[in-house]
Amino acid sequence: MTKLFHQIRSTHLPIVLLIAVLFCVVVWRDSSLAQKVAVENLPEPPSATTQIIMQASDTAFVYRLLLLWLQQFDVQAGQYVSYRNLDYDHLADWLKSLQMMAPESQYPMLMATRIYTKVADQQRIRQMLDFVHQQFLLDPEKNWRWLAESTVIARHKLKDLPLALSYAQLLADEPSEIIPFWARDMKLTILEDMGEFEQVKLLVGGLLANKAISDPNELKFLNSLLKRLQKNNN
Amino acid sequence: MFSSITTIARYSLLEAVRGKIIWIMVSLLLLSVMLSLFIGETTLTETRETQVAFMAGFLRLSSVMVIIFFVVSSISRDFQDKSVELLFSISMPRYQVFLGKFFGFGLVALSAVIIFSIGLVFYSDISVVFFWALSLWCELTLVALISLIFILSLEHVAVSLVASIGAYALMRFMPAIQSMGDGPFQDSAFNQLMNKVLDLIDLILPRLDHFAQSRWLVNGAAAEIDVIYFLLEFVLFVCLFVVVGVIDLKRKAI
Repeated sequence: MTKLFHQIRSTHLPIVLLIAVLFCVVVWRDSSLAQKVAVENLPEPPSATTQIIMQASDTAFVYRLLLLWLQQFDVQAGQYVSYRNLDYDHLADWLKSLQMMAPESQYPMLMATRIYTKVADQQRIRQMLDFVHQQFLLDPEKNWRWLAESTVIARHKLKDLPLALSYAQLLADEPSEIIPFWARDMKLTILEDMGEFEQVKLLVGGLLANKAISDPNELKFLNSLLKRLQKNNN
Repeated sequence: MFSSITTIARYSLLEAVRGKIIWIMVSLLLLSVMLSLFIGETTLTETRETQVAFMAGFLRLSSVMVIIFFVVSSISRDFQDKSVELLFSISMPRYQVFLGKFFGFGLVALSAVIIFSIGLVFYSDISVVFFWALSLWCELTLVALISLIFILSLEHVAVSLVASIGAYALMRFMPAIQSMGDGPFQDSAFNQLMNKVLDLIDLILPRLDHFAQSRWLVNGAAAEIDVIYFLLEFVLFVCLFVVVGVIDLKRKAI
């Protein structure tokens, strides 16, 4: 019996030890993972100096890495963190920092308009729209479509017609020819929603009269809008 | 002269092939492709840009590490099996041995860069990939040269690895290190002295942060790549390091 025990001990001891240690490791890892279920708060974005250090030599790589980290921040330790629990002040600062790192990228704008406006909190939505607004002022040709989306969000989600009108006005006033007519003419539909029929009629009439518009689709849209307004008036 | 240099270079390349370095490079490429596919699934927009940035960043850093380890281990093996002593005992000038090894490692770097380029042409414009690959080859060759100098001079694997990786970090992150010393509250005499030392080091080391940038592949604009700058920097520093390496090797007592 003793001999058999010794034989088992000498041949199987390493495997038994391996299983025992592996068991301890699994138990330890499992318990340490369980301790990490507390949700982390979004930290402040790195300072300008830290950003230089982080970007050292490969800005594009670090930029994309930070972008994906921020995008995945609401998934922590196997649970989804509600956007209401995110610090939107820090979030807006993060988006600003990222946009400064790669001004040609559209990613932060998309995150602001299509992800972080999905929060059920008007104040937080306004923070994101304000970020888009600021970015539009910096580069209208690149960011006009995000301001157009923000106009829609302000109009339909926030039901804030004056805010939507202010954004639409910026789009309409932008001299760049890149901005298409549907974006410029959002101002007219918002004014119509606000009940400013006379003002819309005046604006549309003016646009048609000065022959500044050559696009047949835009002309068709403006004519139909004018006809509808006149019909409603009668 | 050329035949002895090319023979040594050929054997270095052969060692890389037999030591499965080429397969390691192929594995790195496959790993980077898998990484990019995974990353691509997580992005909401600019998928290609994100994929290529990750691929390029990963390939650049990992290939530098592989080259450093290969150069150091290769020369270390030569010391152990007395190949170095054999080479120095025959009637061949030491500078030829040095150049032969250097060209051999340059060819290993070239094969790595060719392998990576094959993968990257699917993600970016071919002309941009060409310039990025050329720039990466310059970077890898400079790193191989510095590792060669360290291992020939120091002879110890661990010390040479640390020195080579440290030198690479200095060449790559010098602007970041300098900006750390430029803070508003760092005006002590010691700090000013350190800044001067860093500026001095910066003058005698190549700025690898200007080489093989992922940004080129992301933007796909070949026109914005300053090819003359990195080629000139490469040629100048290769000359400097080769002279330093040869002088050190000539003084070495075997």
